[in-house]
Amino acid sequence: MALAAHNLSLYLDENDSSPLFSSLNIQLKPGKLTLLLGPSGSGKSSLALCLNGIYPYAIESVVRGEVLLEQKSLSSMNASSIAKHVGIVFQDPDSQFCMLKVEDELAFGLENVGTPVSEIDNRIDEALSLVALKAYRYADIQSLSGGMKQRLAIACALALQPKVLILDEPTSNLDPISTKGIAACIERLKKDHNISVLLIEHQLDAWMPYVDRLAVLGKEGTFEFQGAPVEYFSNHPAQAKKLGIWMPTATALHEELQLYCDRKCKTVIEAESPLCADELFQKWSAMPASIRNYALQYLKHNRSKMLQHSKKTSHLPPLLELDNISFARKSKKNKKNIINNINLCVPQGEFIALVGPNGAGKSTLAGLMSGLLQPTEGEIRLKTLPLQHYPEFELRQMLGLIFQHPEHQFVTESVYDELAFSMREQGLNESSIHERVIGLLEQYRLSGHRHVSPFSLSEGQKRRLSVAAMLSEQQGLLICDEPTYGQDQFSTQEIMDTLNMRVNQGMSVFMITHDMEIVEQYCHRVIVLNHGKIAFNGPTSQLWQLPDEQLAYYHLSKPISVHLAQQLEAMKNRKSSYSSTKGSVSL
Amino acid sequence: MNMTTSEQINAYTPNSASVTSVAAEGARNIANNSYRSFLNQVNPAIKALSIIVCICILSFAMDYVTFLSFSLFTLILTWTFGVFNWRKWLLLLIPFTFLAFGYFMTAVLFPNQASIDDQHVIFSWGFLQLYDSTLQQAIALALRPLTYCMLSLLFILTTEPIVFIFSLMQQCKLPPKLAYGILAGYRFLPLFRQELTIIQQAHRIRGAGPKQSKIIAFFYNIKRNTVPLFASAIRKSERLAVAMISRGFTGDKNRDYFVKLHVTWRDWLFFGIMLCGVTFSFLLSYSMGTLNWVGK
Repeated sequence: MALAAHNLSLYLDENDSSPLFSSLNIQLKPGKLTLLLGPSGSGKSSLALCLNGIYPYAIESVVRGEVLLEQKSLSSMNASSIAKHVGIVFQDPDSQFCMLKVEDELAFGLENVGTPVSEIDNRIDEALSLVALKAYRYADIQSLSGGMKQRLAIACALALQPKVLILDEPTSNLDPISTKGIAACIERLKKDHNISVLLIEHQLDAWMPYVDRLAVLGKEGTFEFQGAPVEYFSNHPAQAKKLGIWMPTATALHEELQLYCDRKCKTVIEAESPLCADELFQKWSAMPASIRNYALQYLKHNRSKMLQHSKKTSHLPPLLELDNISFARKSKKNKKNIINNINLCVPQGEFIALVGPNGAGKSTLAGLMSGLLQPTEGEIRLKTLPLQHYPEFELRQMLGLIFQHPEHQFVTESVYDELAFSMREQGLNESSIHERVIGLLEQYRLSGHRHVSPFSLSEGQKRRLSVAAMLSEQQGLLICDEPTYGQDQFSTQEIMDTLNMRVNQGMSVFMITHDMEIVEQYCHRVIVLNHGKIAFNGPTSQLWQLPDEQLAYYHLSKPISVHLAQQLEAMKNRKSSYSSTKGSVSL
Repeated sequence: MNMTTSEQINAYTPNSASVTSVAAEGARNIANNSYRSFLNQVNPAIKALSIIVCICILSFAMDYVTFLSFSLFTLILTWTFGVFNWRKWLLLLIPFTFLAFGYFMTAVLFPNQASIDDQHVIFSWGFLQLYDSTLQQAIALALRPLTYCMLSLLFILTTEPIVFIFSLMQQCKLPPKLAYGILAGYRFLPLFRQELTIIQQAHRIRGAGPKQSKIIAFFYNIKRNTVPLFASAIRKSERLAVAMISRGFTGDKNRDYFVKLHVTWRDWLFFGIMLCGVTFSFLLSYSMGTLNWVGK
């Protein structure tokens, strides 16, 4: 047993009667990956910090029970000896480094635990090669991409040769391919070095193939489940739904298909739920041909519904046009264009996704489209008039932008005022404002917090408020920068449904995202941005026709449903061509 | 999905193309032993000490020969033995030149009547009379801040802030808690600037951007911008503190350093050169009979 917690409870202060969590028992075994799930705010991160002694050592709190590190109590050790055994990686790649250079950052940790100076050099090399960053030893941390920073954080933890590695949402900032890279890297470390891993994550798909054990933390701060992941997702889907836990996409899709096929041919398919894409494919390709056809029918049916909708609005005039847009940062050092000759047209009533690798210039493009940044070349036209022709006030009535971090957008001191702000700007009378604000508070489940400062809300609530505040205005085009980032299933569903509703009302939504499942589910059109250029611009279904290598180059991965449909289709074609050749032979 | 080998993991990272970032451009890597980078290689703590000592001694003097000769000395030293961006040097000197000019003009136009030696009139125009002694005093007054500024620039432009902090920690026993705190703060500075821009943009989008009545809006905006900035600063610093502790940072003073900064003969040579410079300036002024102490 590498790390074990017995009867662990956390109170935030001495007289607190309601603990963040209580009486938790958890054991991390060497060479196993334990996935910790739970709704936002259930204390997952706090549990992680208890396991490496930050609570109560660095943050004032009362911890009851004990944490045993190889039979030794954590409370008897100091930070530097704990760090030698338990490494931790956090979500935000920017606020976990205190040095400027990669090498210094690694040396910092090694100096802390008193590694002999003669050994440090080797240990740095070793740790960097474990995460494939050896070539970047002398680079500035700032010059690394998000995925590389996270790998560096892992390397910093590994340099101390820990037995336990805790990952607190390590990939929520990353694109799908970087996420897969990190997951694969962790899997290798776990196997080769017998490290036990505790993972906290919302987006499960990339990690599911490697998860050995599952622990589910409930709303009351107790474990609802501990055991094999298959067992939980097959037997307790209702509970997962209640807690707002993401089902692995493969499991959810499997259930949907099963339901549909049951209805069609009344054959009950008894099978354990698959957890990852590969298992799903295996399961369905092993099904009899008739059932496979039903499944294919279902997958295609979903798709055609979407396409119909986008056709309906295509005759309307374009809302926003980008004509040969280029953009370069104003710096003398390198005059490299961040955005390169982009031509783009946003029609009314379309849901468009902007995808691409980290650092491709997606946020910059959003800034240009909303008029926050001036293009160095080219022209942006809103309803056939150049953007500069509109006074600021009018422009804001027509174009909305939701930023990545909701906090940046708060301008008032209470939730109520926040929602009323733009209505007051428009000069509506106070009684109608009151009515609308109350409605919005209700709709976004914020009624209980109306007099609270927006900054004191939880992360999920902040996001809901920022969306609600933006949506209370009736912009024709709404640009969103990763609106669902870091949200649990409830909030994601809610935000996406609201956006979709606007599109159905004839407004347009332009959304930056890394989540391919969302793209597939909601977006009519996808634009792939790579190195500041548009690499692809077309209907969502066409994007998935691209070869896998090309998608991987753009840091994209196919949604599981599309992948399954394509595989089933291929099988069907193979079968039919096979049977037709057989038929001709027999003739 | 078997992306386990290092090449594959790195294959699609957008930065892998720009190999320039890999170049080892660390401060301590300016180890090419040309005389040009002598100043850059001096131990920052000793460099700071020498300059502080020089400034202290110089502040006793108040005559134009001492300051003229020493500023020339500093100029030659900086430009011969330092590697830095000369544009930056000039740019940073500009505000101090204005200041010096201001001192000069004030001293010329409103001289200390008591100290006027009205034997030597250099220049006379209407009621304005420029005496020899007044001019000398004006030059001394103008050169004083300029010399201090040049000394500071010598230090600032040839020293990496990070190495300076390291050196303070290793040579001057600055507590690691404070030193690493400063380093982390230094890293955050550009991040905060980015964040402020984003906040301002976000407020513009909300229709809360700058308005007509600029003065009121200015104060209003300060509050609007600082609250989210502070909120995120506090959160970031908390996260960073947790990250640092979980890397085993205890603030223990007995730590061994991977990058050891030593004090060598070269550093004491620099110290000696600076002291010689000061002595030379004083002697020169003394031999010319112009040496004048402050307050006399």
